Amino acid sequence: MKYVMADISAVEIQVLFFAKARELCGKKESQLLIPSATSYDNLLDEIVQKFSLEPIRDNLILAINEEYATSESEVHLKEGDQVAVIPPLSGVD
Amino acid sequence: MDFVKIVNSKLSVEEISNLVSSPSCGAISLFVGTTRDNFENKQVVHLEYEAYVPMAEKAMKKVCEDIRGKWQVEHIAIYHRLGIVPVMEASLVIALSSPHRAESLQAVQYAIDTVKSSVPIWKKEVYASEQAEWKENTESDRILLNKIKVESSEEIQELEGEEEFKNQKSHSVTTVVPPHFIQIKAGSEEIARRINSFIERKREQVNLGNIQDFCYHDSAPASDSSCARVDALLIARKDSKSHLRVRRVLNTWGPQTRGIDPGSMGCTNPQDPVSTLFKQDVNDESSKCLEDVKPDVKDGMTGPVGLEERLNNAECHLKMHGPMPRDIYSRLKQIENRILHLEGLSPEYFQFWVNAPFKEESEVHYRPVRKRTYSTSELENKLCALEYKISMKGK
Repeated sequence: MKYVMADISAVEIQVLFFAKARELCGKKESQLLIPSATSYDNLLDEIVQKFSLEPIRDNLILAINEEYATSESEVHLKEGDQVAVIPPLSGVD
Repeated sequence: MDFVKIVNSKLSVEEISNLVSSPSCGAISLFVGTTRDNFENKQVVHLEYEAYVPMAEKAMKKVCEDIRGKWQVEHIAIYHRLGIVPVMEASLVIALSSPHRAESLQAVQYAIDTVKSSVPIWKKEVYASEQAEWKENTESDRILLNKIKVESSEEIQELEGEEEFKNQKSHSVTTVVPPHFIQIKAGSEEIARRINSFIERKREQVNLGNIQDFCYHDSAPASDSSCARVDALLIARKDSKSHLRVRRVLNTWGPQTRGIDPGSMGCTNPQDPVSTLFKQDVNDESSKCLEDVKPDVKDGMTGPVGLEERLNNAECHLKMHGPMPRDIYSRLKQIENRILHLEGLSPEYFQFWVNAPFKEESEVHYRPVRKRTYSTSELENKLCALEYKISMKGK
């Protein structure tokens, strides 16, 4: 679902990719223009769509400015904020 | 101290263990995670680790904080290696030191579980003959999500309308409190930690007391893991109305048992108490000595200054009111009876275990005294010297 919000302030944020997300998208990081007041789910949708992350969509968690976020979180983005796409954690066995 | 680091080079277990060692610690617990050469029958060549570094370091520090909230540990070190880690080499080393082993063992278990589930580090298994795969922990996402939900709901309650969504160490206080009333300034987590550890410590003390009171009897082995709720026997002790053993002294030989009026042994001359004693030669066949001494102390003695007040204090403290015998020895005897009665009723009146909490079977060891026999003349000399000394003091 696309919507155009010309008047609402959009900000450019930095998106970081790791592990499987990075392999799917092909880049370690990228920029994204997005409305500053948005919901977590919207943000996730945008990112998944724009960077072709559909295969792992259900396993992703976003971290905004180095803090984990969930679909209950309120999201207020500023210019230059960093959003990291976190695939399922593995770490050491 | 917390030592948290993400490195790209080989980890040295010994170095990291040395980081956390401390003279006050008796235990260091280590966890070392190494690369295994197989997974589901596929041969693994090496592992590749990747991390969201700033957040990973934050998450590892948070694990350290959590550990300190639950256990008393001295130093914590969490080192993770990134990049290619060949088989048998370490990718993660966690080291924890504590004064005793229980804390560091439990904390290191918690540490590895939490690191695995909350730190943004990923591993890729590179197989000999198959496509490389990014591995997931079975529960990592669910654990992580639950953790985040719990933390964020706490934050929402506390922040109440603030727009910022970062963790805060201290909340804004809604009521104004005069600054001189505030004794402790610490974050809410720190305060909660202190309160919890205080509660735990008190619980342990009470448990220990209960065990000592109720569980140390012949039929049960002494054990720290027992407690009064499961292993208590009320052993009726002689002369005692409670479970405590009461020791009473039975004087078989003394003025009261030999029919001598204790009042007659009173101090006739407060300045020279010794002479009074010497006048009293009970083995002497002449009992007229007693009559000589007696008339001076008809009405119970007042003795040295302040004695009356001291007796009053003792009687008030023991809640003894009502008429008192005039004779001092009877009063003292009543006070002693009262004390024994209270001890027999309940130990809370008196502290039995001030210094040595558990020494039921140990008796006082008497220092062996060198004995020698004195001749009568030597004894006389000693006595005269003593008399002289005391009379000199009196002047």
